Amino acid sequence: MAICKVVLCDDDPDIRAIGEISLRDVGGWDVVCVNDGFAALTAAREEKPDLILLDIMMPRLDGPGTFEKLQADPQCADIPVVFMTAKAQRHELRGYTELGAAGVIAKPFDPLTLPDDIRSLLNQI
Amino acid sequence: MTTELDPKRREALQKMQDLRARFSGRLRERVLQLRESLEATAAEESGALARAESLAHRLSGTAGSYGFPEVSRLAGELELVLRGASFNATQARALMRELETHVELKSA
Repeated sequence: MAICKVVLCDDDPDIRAIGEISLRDVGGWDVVCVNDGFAALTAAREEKPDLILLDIMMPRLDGPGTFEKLQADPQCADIPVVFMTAKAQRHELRGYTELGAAGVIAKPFDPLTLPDDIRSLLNQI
Repeated sequence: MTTELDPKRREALQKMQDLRARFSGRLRERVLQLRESLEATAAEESGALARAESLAHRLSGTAGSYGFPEVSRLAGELELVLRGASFNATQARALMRELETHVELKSA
């Protein structure tokens, strides 16, 4: 699948900063950065991204909670979601993909290869 | 033989290096916040353990993405030690000292 626009949702400003450069300058994608799950829901509806990158652990509304709301919204249910987590243990990874996510990217990530890692995940769908 | 990077990739690398330098400057502050939270767990302050675990979790994910793999590893180990039932104060303090030593050395 072709990606043009990505929503990157993470509550850590340092991750948003390095992620944005990686996705935009290395990946060549338009990037919309948001800092929590509620903002991700709004961005998904307004921006119609081709992909949402969602941190797992966030205050207020966490990644799985945000994903559940996206799935329940007909405007957003078809947008692929890739979770990002530092808790990338094998059983946890399986749990997230069983929820219906397109995949999981482990943090820390390499900003020079992140876009290719995401493309590889999406090609496996 | 030198490999010529395309201009967009070179620009991205430059931006990442700038960001890394700024992050490096904030690393001590983040480690200090973590130590303060850890000390608060010793004083049994409400929510201190969860806060320390969250700070360690974030530091682990962020430091590695900025090219500080050892900081990431130590913070990740600390996160596991701080997680609920497996909490071991002695082990946590030892990891915290190792983390502080590493960041001091890195920033020197």
